[in-house]
Amino acid sequence: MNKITNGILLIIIGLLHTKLVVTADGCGTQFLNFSKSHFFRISGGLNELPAAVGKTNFETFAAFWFFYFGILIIPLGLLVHAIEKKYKVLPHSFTISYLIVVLVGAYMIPASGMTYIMLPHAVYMVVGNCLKDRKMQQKLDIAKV
Amino acid sequence: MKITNGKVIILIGAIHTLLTPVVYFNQFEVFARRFFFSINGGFMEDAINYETFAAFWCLYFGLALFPLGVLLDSMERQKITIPKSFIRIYFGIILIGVYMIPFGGMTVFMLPHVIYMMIASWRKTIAIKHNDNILKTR
Repeated sequence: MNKITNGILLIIIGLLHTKLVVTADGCGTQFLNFSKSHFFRISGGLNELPAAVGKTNFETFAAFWFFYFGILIIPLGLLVHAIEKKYKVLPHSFTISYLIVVLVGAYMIPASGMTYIMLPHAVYMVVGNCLKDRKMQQKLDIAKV
Repeated sequence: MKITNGKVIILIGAIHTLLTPVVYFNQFEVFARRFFFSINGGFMEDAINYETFAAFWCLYFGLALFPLGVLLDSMERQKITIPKSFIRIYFGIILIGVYMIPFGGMTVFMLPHVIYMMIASWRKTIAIKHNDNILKTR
């Protein structure tokens, strides 16, 4: 098997998140309701906003956004994997912005997957990427000399 | 400044993130009282607080678009071709969103952008193939 990249880890995180959403521990009940309409037009969307009790179905929105975040992580992982395979090093602007987003999530909901799964991975990605970048720079310097 | 697909995704993320506190004003007012810290018990909660969850995940989806946009922008500025597999899966995900909530931001903002991204990628591939053919005939 190919080397496990940060991209693969992100894809796994996305899949685990999506699995949690559709099971009974997550929003399984809501997804069962969505299946009755074949997942089509589960919500009025913009018609239900601004959010207000009686106007907005918070259950539907919560289940949808919870699910949609997980599946967004999958193409992100794919992109990260493609870059790592070809160029080894990721742009620091990406690793740092990803860490900041994860930190925001961990701060807002500390007892969650953001703190226990995404934060350790984001820190590992930033540190690992810095070390890889430094190593490559050293190799380039040696080659120049 | 050249407008890249990455910058467009960052812009969509910014619009989404800025609009979330407006449309979920009551929920964000409660979050602000706690300085946005520990707004939800997460794993510790016996039952999901759907109001909090809806507001948080809506915000967090917008925030998640930022690193994606930053990465894409960085690739495009370095003239690295965006993998087709990424574009196809991203397109599929947008289609899922459009199908599930047709009257949403996915249809209005994200779908036109991803279609543009697909067409641009397709045209680029054709241009590369055309150049290769010219080189071969020479």
